[in-house]
Amino acid sequence: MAVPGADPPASRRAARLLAATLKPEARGLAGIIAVLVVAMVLRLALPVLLGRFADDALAGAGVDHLTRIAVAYTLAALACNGLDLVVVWRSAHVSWRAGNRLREQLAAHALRLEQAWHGRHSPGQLIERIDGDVEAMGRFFAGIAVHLVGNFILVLGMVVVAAIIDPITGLVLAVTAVAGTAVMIRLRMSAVAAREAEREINAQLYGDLEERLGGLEDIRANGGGEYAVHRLHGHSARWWQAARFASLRGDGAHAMAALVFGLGTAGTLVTGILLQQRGLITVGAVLTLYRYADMLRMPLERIAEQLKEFQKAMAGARRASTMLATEPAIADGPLDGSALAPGALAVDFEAVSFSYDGRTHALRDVDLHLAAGTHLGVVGRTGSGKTTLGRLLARFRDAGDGSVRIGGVDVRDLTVAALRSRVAVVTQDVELFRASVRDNLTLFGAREASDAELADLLDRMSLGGWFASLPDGLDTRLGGEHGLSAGEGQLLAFARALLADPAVVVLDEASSRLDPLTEERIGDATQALLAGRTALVIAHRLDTLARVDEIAVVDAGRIAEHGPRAELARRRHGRYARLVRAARLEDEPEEATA
Amino acid sequence: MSPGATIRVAFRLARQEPTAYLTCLFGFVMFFSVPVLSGKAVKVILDSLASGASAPWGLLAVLVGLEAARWSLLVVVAVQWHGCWVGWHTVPRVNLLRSLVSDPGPATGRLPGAPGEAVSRFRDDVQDLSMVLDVVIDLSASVLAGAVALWVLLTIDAQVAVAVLVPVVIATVGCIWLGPRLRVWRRDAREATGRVTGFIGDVFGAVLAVQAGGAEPAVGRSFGQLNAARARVSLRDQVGSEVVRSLGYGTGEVAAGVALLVVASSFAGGELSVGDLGLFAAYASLIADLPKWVGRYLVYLRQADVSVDRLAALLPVPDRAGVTAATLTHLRHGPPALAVRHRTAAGDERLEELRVEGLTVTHPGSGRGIEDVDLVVRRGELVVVTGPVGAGKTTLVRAVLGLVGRDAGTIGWNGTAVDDPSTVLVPPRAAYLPQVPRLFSEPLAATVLMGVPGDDLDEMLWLTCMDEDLARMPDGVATVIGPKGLRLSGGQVQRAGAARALVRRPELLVVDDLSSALDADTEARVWDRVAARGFETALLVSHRPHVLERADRVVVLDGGRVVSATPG
Repeated sequence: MAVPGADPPASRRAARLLAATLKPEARGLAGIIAVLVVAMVLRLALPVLLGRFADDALAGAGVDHLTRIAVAYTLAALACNGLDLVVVWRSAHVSWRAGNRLREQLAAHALRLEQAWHGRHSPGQLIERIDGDVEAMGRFFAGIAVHLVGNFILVLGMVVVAAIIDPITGLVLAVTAVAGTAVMIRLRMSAVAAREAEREINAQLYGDLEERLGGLEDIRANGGGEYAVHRLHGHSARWWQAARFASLRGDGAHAMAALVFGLGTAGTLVTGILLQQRGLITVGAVLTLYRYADMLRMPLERIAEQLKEFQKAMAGARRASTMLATEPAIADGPLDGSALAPGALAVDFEAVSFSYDGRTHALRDVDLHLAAGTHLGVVGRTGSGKTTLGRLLARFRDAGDGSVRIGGVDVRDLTVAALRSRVAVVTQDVELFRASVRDNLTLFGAREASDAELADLLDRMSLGGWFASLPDGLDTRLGGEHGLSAGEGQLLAFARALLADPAVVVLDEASSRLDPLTEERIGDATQALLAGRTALVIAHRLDTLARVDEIAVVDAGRIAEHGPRAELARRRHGRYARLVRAARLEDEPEEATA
Repeated sequence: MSPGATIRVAFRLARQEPTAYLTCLFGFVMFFSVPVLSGKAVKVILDSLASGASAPWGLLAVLVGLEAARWSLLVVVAVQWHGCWVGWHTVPRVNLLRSLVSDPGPATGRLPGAPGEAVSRFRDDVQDLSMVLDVVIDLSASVLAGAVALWVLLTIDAQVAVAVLVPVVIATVGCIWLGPRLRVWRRDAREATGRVTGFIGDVFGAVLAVQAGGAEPAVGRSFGQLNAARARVSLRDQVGSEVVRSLGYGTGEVAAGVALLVVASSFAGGELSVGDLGLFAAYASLIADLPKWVGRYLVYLRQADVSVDRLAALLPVPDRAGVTAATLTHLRHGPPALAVRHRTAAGDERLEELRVEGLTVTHPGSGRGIEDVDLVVRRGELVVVTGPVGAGKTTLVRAVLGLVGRDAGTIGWNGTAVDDPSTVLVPPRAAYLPQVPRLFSEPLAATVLMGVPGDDLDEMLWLTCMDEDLARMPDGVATVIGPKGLRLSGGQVQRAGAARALVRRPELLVVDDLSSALDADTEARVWDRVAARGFETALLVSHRPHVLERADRVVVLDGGRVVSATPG
């Protein structure tokens, strides 16, 4: 049975992730540690010089001799601090490189995960996962060399020098260091869990804030402000509880360890006094030992500082490794793009069933065959399963039963990239980036196109006028003041799809935000987008389907009717014919022109 | 702004709970001051050793007791401090969110770029402000402990005191000199961070487009470039801050060395004891803590100065004091239950006539918008705005609701001019369904109700034809929907948004194109049901013929101007 709070696989996975992330930096880290060793040796020399100063002064040494010791002390102090800075600079450098690599790895992985996963993780949460958590890990990377390794070397050095002064004092310092460290490690794990809980609440808080800020207009115009503030209060109150609890655990661990070290200092002094009174060591040596015992505290306080970072980093690493361990539900198949012929491709749904929740079927036993180059109009009421057809074809989901084929190849046998390079989906949700027009069209350079080609494309999509009004042309950043209307956004999405030169196009209510006039105006462009390609045009406005070859009527997850458009329209009791008649009554003006 | 002004802004947070802040302050002063006593005890011990007297075991026991007390105190104070820390974050967040959702004027324009960047304001900038209060505690404790230590040194040997002080002063000057540079570096780093978080937010807000377009590698490359740029400026910022910090640690050791140089002659003359040497070394490191805290204080203060400006910019009129205005945090017991009551419109809230005259909006930059638009909606009327893409339909309804600022024109409610529609044309006067409603990650009922009682929730969901969809959802209205309602279809999101507007029982329903994700049949049923329930006054954007047929009046826009309108 699993013990709550102790999840070895997750911790081990997190540790492996940290190790793997740092591995490419091994050489840089080795150099940093070399410099660090020199700095620490110099720092170790300081108390020895102090003790020597005291002893020699008591022995009646001259001013010159004492001044020489003092000069050596001052120079060593300057040098070790200068080297410390070098170490900080280089380790921050390493930490940014390693951290950014991990950020990119996490982002790339999250991009491979399917829609359902993204439905559970808001962009705000992902900001916290990809940036917030990695930042915590980065601070830890930057601190590893200076705080953990450096202080370990320092403590080890102090034990060795103390043992040279007298083996017993070396033993006392060693016992102190080991006991203090043991207490820290024992209490650390429980503190990690509390810290993780705190960060999780923070992720929720920021995720919620991100959503509310994004939906500010909905909230304001519908008087939901008090509610939004209320939620912030609720999250903050839970953070308060979690932060105080995490502090009790974390700072409690810190204090316990510090007490052990305090006892160690006292023990060192007692031992030193007893040895000095027996004439075994000098007063200067007692001073050196006391400084060491006192210095043992500083590495402790630094390690404790680092311990907090370590807790945060471990919690972040756990979540990061959990995310990386989440296998994409949509796995690559063995075949690459060469398995598909160039040009338009046939589309086949064979005995396809699909359910989103495992209970109710969105599609049931669907058989649908489209010859290459055929344009199919899909109609049916909201929720009948039309959209699911497109999702299965582009593998945003995988069919439960049956198979979906493109060009005769099961979509699951293809790599996702190969499939999606041939299938373009334009949905009703236009997704734009706050980036340049060029990046929005080429998806950050995923498609290559010259500026002239892009301008020409926008022109064909009736966006020429809008484009001409942009101050910086293709470099104009979208979002903010250079907003697009919803319809213009839709046109931009068309242009984006056209640029991909796909074999199969799925238009899922793509023109639903366009007014009939605009839709007609871009009719030619739409035809250009569809020409020579196989198309699934999902629409509720029948006039959108005026030019398709075939029609399929979907009802409650089944294909209720499928055939050539003209033929179905003539069927007296057919469903499509009924829809056309109903639309004609309602949409008279449009049907007259169509 | 001057740093003094920033500290006043920060201190308004501490004044929210003065006892808690003073407890932390006192606790940390004690924690920092104990080593002064311990150092003195060790001096006495060492001196008695050098003189060959019997060992002072009692003093050693005191030493251990002091340490035990010091660390026990720390745990208590640290827990208290964490409570304060959360409070310092909560006050500005509540103030800003409350302002964004309720202060007059269009609010969206106040937010920076992507929502991810806005979150960074609520996260990082608020944290910067809290850091000031934190570092003030450390600085005060360090100054007090350092002052006592310096005074003790002065009583022993004035020369040593000065020798210790010189490196400390130099280090402090260095820290202060670095300050303004750090501020610039800091700002660059923050901006680079904002670009990275904004990019993540954008990419995952539009993850479907990225995946559908197979743009994952290209997005990865762009992300890599942003990361590399951020690493460059952040490294400079980090190393700069670290120089300031290490000036503290290092100065103690150097100061001890300088003290040794100064006392070499007095020591040779036998005027000082071994115990004094121990004391110099211990106190030098205590006093040398000062530059670190002074430096940190200045760094944090400058960071906070930038942050307060950024936070103040979220308010309608940038107001630094408004960021930390006193407000209840409800941290200990959680917020009291939300008491939003249903308010049906009464008195002048009842709509007789909404009259819009000469409404002009120019989008900065593109120069597009609407010009000189007139519009009237009387009680019981259905007014439909139509026109081609980019005609300004959405801009018109948003301007009427005050969601976008207007350059000219008047909006009259029952003949009274409305200066700020964003606070007046809200429930129970008006409610709004945007073209793409934003739903939130919570149970469907919560995102529809947004705090109002759910008495007629089922009815409103029936009005918007959500009943059949709900029957198919596993937990009905308690079904948790994903971010932005991703697990709902486009049509379901729109109808849930419609229910959200209706459940507020508005006098005037403002709907921006319900048809975009609904089939004609469903939309017609929604309008039938809504009209039958008595919601009869509405301003709609649509180009569906059956909606236009229902209209009492149709306003046709093109190029931002009214090209034809049914007279009214």
